[in-house]
This record gives sequence, C-alpha cells and structure tokens, in this order.
Amino acid sequence: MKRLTALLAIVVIAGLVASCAPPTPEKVVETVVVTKVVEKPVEVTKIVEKPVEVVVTPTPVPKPAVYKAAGGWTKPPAYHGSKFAPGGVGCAHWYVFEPLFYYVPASGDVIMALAESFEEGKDAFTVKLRKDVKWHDGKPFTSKDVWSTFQLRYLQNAGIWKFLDKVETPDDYTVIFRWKEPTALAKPLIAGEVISAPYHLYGKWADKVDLTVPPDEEPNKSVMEDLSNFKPEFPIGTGPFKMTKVTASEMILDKFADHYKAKNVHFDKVVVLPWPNNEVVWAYLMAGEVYRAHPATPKDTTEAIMARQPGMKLALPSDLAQFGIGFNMRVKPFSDENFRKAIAHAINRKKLREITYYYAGDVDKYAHNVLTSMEERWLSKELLDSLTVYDYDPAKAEAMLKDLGFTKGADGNWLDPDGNPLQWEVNCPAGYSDWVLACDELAAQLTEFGIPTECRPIENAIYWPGATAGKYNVMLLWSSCWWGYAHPWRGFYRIFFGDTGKRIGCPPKLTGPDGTEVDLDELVTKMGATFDEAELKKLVETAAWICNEHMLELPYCEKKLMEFHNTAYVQGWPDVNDPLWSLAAGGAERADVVMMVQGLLKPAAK
Amino acid sequence: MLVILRRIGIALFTIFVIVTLTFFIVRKTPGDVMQAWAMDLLDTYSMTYEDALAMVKSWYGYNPNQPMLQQYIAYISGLLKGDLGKSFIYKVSVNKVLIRALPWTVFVLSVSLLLSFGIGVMLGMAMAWKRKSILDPLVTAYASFTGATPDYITALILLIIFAVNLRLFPLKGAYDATVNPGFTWEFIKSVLKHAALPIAAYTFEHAASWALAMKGSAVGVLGEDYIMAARARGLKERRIMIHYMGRNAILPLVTSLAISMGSMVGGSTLIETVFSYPGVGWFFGEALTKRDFGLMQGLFLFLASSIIFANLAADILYSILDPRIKLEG
Repeated sequence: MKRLTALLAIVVIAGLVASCAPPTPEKVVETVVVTKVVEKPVEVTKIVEKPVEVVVTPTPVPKPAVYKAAGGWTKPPAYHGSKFAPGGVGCAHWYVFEPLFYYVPASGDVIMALAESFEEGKDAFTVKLRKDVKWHDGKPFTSKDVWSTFQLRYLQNAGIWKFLDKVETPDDYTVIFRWKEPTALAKPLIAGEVISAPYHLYGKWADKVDLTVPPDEEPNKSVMEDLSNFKPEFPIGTGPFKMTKVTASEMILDKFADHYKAKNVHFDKVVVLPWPNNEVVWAYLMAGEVYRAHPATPKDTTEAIMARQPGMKLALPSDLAQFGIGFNMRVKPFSDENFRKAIAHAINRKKLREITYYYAGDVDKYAHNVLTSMEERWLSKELLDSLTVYDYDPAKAEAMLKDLGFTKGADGNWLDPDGNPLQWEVNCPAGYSDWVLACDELAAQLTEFGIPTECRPIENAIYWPGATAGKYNVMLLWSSCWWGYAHPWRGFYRIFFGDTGKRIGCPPKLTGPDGTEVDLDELVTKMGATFDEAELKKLVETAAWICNEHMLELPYCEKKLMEFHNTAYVQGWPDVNDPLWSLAAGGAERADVVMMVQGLLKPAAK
Repeated sequence: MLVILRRIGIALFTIFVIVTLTFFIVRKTPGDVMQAWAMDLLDTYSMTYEDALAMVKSWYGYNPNQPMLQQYIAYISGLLKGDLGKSFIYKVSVNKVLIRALPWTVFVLSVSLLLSFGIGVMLGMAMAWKRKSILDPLVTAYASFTGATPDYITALILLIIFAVNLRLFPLKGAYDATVNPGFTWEFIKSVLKHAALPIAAYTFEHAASWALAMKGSAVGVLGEDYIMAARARGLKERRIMIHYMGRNAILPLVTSLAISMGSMVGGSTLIETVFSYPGVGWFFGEALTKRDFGLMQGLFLFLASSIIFANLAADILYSILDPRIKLEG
C-alpha cells in the first residue's frame, strides 16, 4: 500500500513538473519514400526495394514579430470598444485610433497621420484628408467620420469646444474647423483628438447632437445616455493595429494590413500585459516580458533592471508636469507672500526630488511655472536673471521670518507674531509612493527648521475635493501641467484658475513686473489667442514673473517619464534625447505608434 | 427541521439588514469620486482636468439628486427578482461580473484554503504533540512573519523568484491567451500553471494561522481523559495523535473553515492584483476606489450572503460531526 502511494505520488509530481516545463517546440517532419538498390553477394542477384525515411527540414514558418508593452484596461465583462462609454478601449487607444496629425511637444513639429496637409488661419483651420485610409471593418474613411467624432466629443465637453464653433465638411476629404475666436492652440488642440467615431457606426448619435444647447441639456443629455449604452466588442479605428482579443491578462492587437503605411510597420502583433502596479511592471521588465514601459522606478530598482537586461536603455522625456507644494493663500500666515517666500528658502527641493523621484528633473531655483525642460524655449535670459531665486538657505529663511515678526521659542520652534507656535500638517493623496515620500520628507524638513509638521496622506476621493474646497493649508499637488495642449497657456490656466488655482486660492488680479495690476484671466486669454510669437513670449514672461515673484506655489521637481526600452528585442529606438520621446507624455503608446509607422522600430535580429 | 428553518429565517433577516445598511453606508462614504476619477484620467488620456471631469460626469450613472428612498425601493425590488444591481461606472450587471469572475476566484481560493487548512492542521497537531521540539518556535516565527507581511508582499516575492528568475510559472493571468478555453489538456495545463503562484501565495500566507489555531485546540484536547485512557490501553502514538487528538481538536476549526469558505467569494484583491488574476477581488478593488456604489453593494451583498450561509452550514455540520452539540433556535 505504501509503495503504491509512493508510486502515485511520483506520478503526480512528475505530472506537475511536466506541466510546468516550457512547451516543446513543434517540429514538422515530412516522410519521403525513396528507392534504394541494394546489391548482395549471392548466387542470384536480387533487387530489393526498401522504403527509407528521410527527414527533410522544410523552410521554417516565420514566427510573428510581436511587440510587447504593458498598460491598463477594464477587465471583461466590463471591457468594450467604445471611447464614449466608461470601460472602453483602454490603453489600446493610440494603437487603434489616430489623430489627424501628431504634435511633438518638445520640438513643436507636426507629423501627419490621417491628414495629408492643413492650412492654419485665424478663423478657420482647414485639413485635407488622406484618400487611402480604411476603418478596421473595411469601410472607407471620409470627412464625415471626423465630423461625427467632434460632434460626440461636444457631448463630453471636450476642451477643444471652448474654441471650436463648428466642424464643416465641404467634401469627402476636406474638414474645416471654424473657431469662435482666433486661437494659436489649434495644432495641439486638434492633435489631441483621435478620430474614433466612424459615421457608419456612430452617425445616428452624431446627427442628433445640438450644438446650440449645452451638453448636459436636452436633447444632448439623452443622446449621451443612449450613446453610453453602445458597447461594441472591440474598437473600430483606422490605426496600424486592430484589436483581436482581450482577456483579463492580455490584450492582443494584430497588424492592420490595409493601413496606409502598413509597409512601414514591422510588427505583426502587439501584446499588452496588464499594469496592476509599478512593482509588477518592474518584474515584467526584468524578465524581458515587455519591451517598453514607463513605471516610476527608484534608483536601485532601475539599476537592477538595467543589470538584468543588458540591452535595456532609459529615455527620460518630460511628462509635461511638475510636482509642487501648495499653500492655502486664503488663511494667515500663508496669505502673506513674504512668508511663503521665507518658507521656500527653508525647503531643500533637490533633496525632496532625490528622495521622492530620483529620475525627475530638478526644479530648485525658481517658482515661475514654466516647465524647466521648456525654460530655454519660452523665457529669456534677461527675465531669468531678474527673477528671485528660491535656493535652499535656512539662514535666509530665518532672517526673513524674523523680519516678519516671527520668533523662535525656547524649544527652538517658531512662534508667530502673536506668540502662537507654528504647527502644521502636510497633506497628500494616499496610495502613491512618490506623493507620500515627498510628504514625509517635507514634514521632516519643516520640523528640522523649527515648524513641527506631520505628514497626513488622505484617500484620493477625499483628498482632491478637500483641497479644492480649501481644507488643507500645506499640500502636495500637481503644479504646472501642460498635459493636453503642451503649451504654457495650459500651465498658467491651471495655476491661475484651474484645479491648482482653486486649491491654493489664487486671487484674480496680481501686480505685474511693471508694478501695475494684471487681470490674470485677460492675460491667459490673450496667451491662448495670439499668433504673434513675440507677443506670446512677452505674455508668458509676464505670467512667469507673477508666479515667481508672488510665490504662488513651490514646484519641487519636473516629472520625467522613465521610458525603459529594450534593444535586445526591438531595434531602431530613437536616441534617448530625441524629441519623439516627448510624444509619450500623456500617451506612451502614441510614441510607440509614431515610431512604428515611421518605420523606425523593428524586431531585433537574434 | 423546524430549527433549521428558523435558522434560515434569521439568516435571511440578517441579509436584509445588511442590504439596507450597506445601501445607505456606501452612499454616505465621504469624498467626491468624480474628482478623483478625473485626476486618474488626466495622464491616461492626455487631457486637461476640466475635460476629464466633464467626461467623468457624462459617464457616471449615479444621480445623487434622486431621492434615497426611491433608489432603495428600486434596488430592493431588483433584488427580489434576482438582480444584484448594476455597476454605475461600467454599466454592466453585477450578476454578469460574478458569472465571469467568480469561478476563477472559487477555484484558486478553494484549493488554497483547503491546502492551507490541511498543512496548518498537520503542523498544529505535530506542534501540540511534540511541544518542546524545534517545530514550535519555527512555526510560531513563520506565523509572525506571515501575520506581519501583507499577502501582496508574499505574492511579489513568489512572482520574482518563480516567474522572473526561475521562469517556471507565468507572470500573469488565468490561462495563456493563445489557448482556447475548453475541456482540453492544453487548457487545463495552462490553467494549473497560471494558478500555481496565486495558490502558493495564499497557502503560504494562511497555513501558519491554521497551525496555531490547531495547536491551541489540540493542546486543550491532550489533557482529556480519553487521551490518557488511550495511552493506558497501549495504543500506538500515531493512532492517538490522529484519531484521538486530531479528530477532536479539529472540530472548533470547522466553523472557521466554513466562514473562510464563505468569505473567499470576495476574492483576494491583493493577490489577484499582483498576478492579474481575473477574479472577484479585482472588481472589489475597482468598486471601492472608484466608489462604484452599484458594484460595491452588489458584491458586498453576495459576500455577506455567502458568509451567513456558510456559517449556517457550519452550525448544521457541527451538530452532525459532534453529537454532543445540538442545534437550538
């Protein structure tokens, strides 16, 4: 009995081991019958026919060239292929859909996609479409599809509709964007929109959109509700890859053979692995399971990934965003800009960056809110030389506070002019290591400076509304972010009136460099409308001066996307400093697609 | 029989109370999910905050202005028809989510639970039987370690050792996407291979707590007269350990096992997340972070019902296993 048990155990273990073994590669064996003459030294010569098996190695079937990435999507059964209902498309967005053209943030260049050419005017932006484009279901692509996409984007209150009056289609291959008022942001605005609503599928909703009433009023409200119930199995786009399978653990896209630049695309498939958290993506990168991904990664883990995969390279394009420290300007003592300036000198921003996001860019001189990576392009040396530098200088901070009437108590901690001890709490969104590490470090620095401070992370769904309502006095937030439009207009809008402005309580008017009061709304509106490059730079410099000299908030690092890309599996990656990488900001897959469609990326030769 | 029916009635009433409480509690959860969701979308879709917020508002299927009582009545009448509700965000029914995700969760967690229970019970018996052996401090240290580390860490360690370094098991998913689901050896092999690490993570995390519980129970049993009598009769040590001590000591653990069986339908959010396993846990996590009231209350209800009925089953089973215990109303 014992022997039988042992035998059974061995069989089970063997079975398990077998099931864990890598699959045996399939071999193709062809049997060919040949005739062979054998002579034997016998009296009678006899001819013997014997079949002999000869193994012929056939030409191997080429393995499909697969590109592997990581991303997020809603798991089935909630997954579907509509961009106009929650749970749809996911990270396949840029593989499946295309914009009329791509706008490269770092260079300002335009790369044509569905558009063949365009003409930019003050009142209108005319686009000529390619004539050789097909949707994934085989239907031809026309201007009507562009029209229906923008009609439906109106229902979603898309930012472009702040400027857009209507979209006209004089013929099948011409689209005219008519502006309500002139805008210099036309290119980034149009490039940010993928054409995702083919008229033959979405036309019945697009036709019902009424541009004369707001999106949340009838009949638009009902159209949106009805549209959000439309859930095709897979997205239908015009992009170089079409969706073929979605499970909880993989998204598989096949090369679209009818794509107008299919000959440039050297990959037959894109396989996307799920991105549940950064730790898992580090494991994918170490195992060589994904060829490009951009998880925020600490220094030692980055080194481990590079050591494990010798072909791995790291590009660090800007994510077009800065992390910052916000002060609630509605309450004392934060309402005093000299107090904020003093505190800025007490914070070691370089150390904050090193601890929280090692590979981020330094923002340790100014608080002007033009992204440091874009500083050279938008700000003159003269302006930079005239701005106050907020370097780490605790002695200066101490002197400034004393000038404001603050004193130090017997315990070495600061007291306000009324003799009350300063005791703060720094708040940040919980659940994100970069925010929480920064919060802890900031609290430690302020405590060391003599302001006992505690870090209190708050759950996401409570934190952001609380910050907007002015509930936190010292908080971590997104500082200047150029997501969407990749233009300083975007960053200043956000700081003055957008979510950041609301969180810090930015006033509507502040004094400018010439000592006169500047209406911030007017300033930003002009910035978005002017076509005059010199005037635009002057407006940007004015806004930068206001941010810096009034110390509206203190950015502490520029977020960089850590674009790991493995040359052992894919060749042709552009140099790590190539502006093309900047397409990854707000859409890492967009950079993949542009590089593929341009014919740059190829499977690496083994 | 009457007692059992009465118990079922109490269970149903408990479920009704839970339904009512969860309905109101989830709606009173602090925070504005739309702002948080918009912040998440900013980076994903390269949008401005205002655009993201507008998109989220157009998607979110919950109308906070509808009177609470009206919502409650609609929900209860749906439940009576077997409809667990609908996700406000994804606009799919909770039933559909459960049909798709539950089998994977039940498969992985039932195997893990039985394995961890089996290993834990054996370790606990051995610890109680040989109390001064090295096993006791070793298992206690193991229990302290697993008690102090979240499932998530163990799952990551296993992932790095067995999937990244040794490449013995896949990194993610329930089966290979190139294999067509069906009753084929290839599919079954793929499922087993993909389930190995989640099962190992869960088993490793929970076996020690079962061992300690079993040890506590067994030590109590060891002092009983029938153990002494068995020794006096000259029975073999092994027989006394398994048949006299083990069988009696395991009884109190049956209730815990039944409750664990009931609660396993909630999935293991952390382990399922690390291995991208398509179970209920992922949807639970999504529902909580996105404040998807519809999905949240549907999943809570299913989980609560499973625990209550598992508890009821444990009570009935216990009275069968131990004739000294009688069911009372």
